Amino acid sequence: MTNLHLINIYFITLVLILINILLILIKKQKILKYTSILAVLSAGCAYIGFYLVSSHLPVYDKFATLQNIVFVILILGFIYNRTPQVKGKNINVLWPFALVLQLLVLTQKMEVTGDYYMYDKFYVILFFQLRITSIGLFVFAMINLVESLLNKKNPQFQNILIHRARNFTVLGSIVFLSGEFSGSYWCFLWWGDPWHWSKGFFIASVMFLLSMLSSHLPFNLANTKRKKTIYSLIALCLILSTYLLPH
Amino acid sequence: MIKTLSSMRFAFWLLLSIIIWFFIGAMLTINDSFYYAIKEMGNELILDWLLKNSIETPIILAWFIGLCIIGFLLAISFTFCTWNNLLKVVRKQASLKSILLFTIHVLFVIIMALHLGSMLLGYKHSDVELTVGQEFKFNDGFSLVLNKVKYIDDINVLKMKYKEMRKYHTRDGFHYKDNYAIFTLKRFDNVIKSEKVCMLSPFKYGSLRATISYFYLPKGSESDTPGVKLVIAKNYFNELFFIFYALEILSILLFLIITWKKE
Repeated sequence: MTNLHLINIYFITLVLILINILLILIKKQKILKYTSILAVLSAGCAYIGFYLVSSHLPVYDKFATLQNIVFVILILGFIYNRTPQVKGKNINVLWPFALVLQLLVLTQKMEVTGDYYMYDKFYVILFFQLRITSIGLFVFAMINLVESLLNKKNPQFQNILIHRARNFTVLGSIVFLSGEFSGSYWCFLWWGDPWHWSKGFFIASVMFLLSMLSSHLPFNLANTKRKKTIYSLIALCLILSTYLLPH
Repeated sequence: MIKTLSSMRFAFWLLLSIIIWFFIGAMLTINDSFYYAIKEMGNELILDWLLKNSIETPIILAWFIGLCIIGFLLAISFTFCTWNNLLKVVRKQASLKSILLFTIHVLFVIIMALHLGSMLLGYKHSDVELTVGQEFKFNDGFSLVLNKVKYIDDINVLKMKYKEMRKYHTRDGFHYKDNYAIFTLKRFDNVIKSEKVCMLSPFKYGSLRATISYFYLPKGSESDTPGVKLVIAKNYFNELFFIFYALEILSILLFLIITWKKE
């Protein structure tokens, strides 16, 4: 397998996401059920492909990490769009989100990170992988919040979406912290300290603290469900933007 | 006053302030001179940096003082909120949820205190360069002698710049377990311990650690044996930091599990 294969798989996933958006627009939910499986499979192939080409799971290059994030949200979408309690109430906004992330790859160098001797260590790969996964979880929380804003007429479904967004924001924080824990251990063994003053440390702190913001919204600021949803959404958007900053 | 200090509003604005402050810190690193100044902060104990070198970079010093003020206020906010609000709830209606929420906040304050402790106590010497036979004398009468270096990979790679060197440090190009150094730790010329040290596997003696950051070729030297760049640090809080950090993650996870609820 080569980098060229990875680029091909990337475009296949992109086309499948586009087809799914089209199917939503023409309201062909039954076909969407099957094409969404194809999109998950294609994103999964890319994930395995990254490992086969570079001998390690995605680390920090945006070509691989953005597709890894798309893979995470597609899996979650696949699971939740089939939850019996919300039958017929799919999170359709997931697909435009996946499309934007997938399109962002085009702005990056389409090449996976080369090999490095430290990628042999479990905690090094875990640091990168947990961070990527946490971003996927945060994006999924964002998707649920946006969907809840679009579903004003169905308060029951709206509540489900908001609660799910809260769960995935907290889960994202846990996964992010676990990644930082692995990173701290790596830093400890390489630089003699669990952390050091650097841009990476500042950015990581910003991302974690932003994830804490949505659970510390004061009542006078977020006194309605809608306001709380919007503020939480802003915090999550900022986490994603911070992650996408080159560092 | 106590009500204000333990309010969610106070915590929220402080959280927002510290986020902005860290973001400013990240932006400062874009400038080369600030980048090196911030890197310099991590080369020694923060207390030593404050007393010796901080005045050379007043903007970084001002940024750091601002961070300390916000961090201190945040610690106060967390402590008051935990004491006044969360503990009250635990006392009134003890449930696993309220106990966990209380624990998460207490652990966060402990982790912040451990950060503070590691900035003030112990010592740190970075970029210590040693070649075979050389000795580095440091605090409390300790000295570290480099007895031997074994380096089996291409020595020419070490002549390259860092970014270029990294391309060659693949799993096949750099055998980190086979490249090692043997050190002897002495105190007032009495041998305490000798140990073989590889990359990612530091020399340990109590809370003292000597960590190899890189192998390097000394400039102007005709020898083919590289030297090592070391970080020698004594930190009393590292182990505690990792323990409390893990406990914090576990408590949040447990909190999430019990509040997940079926949809």
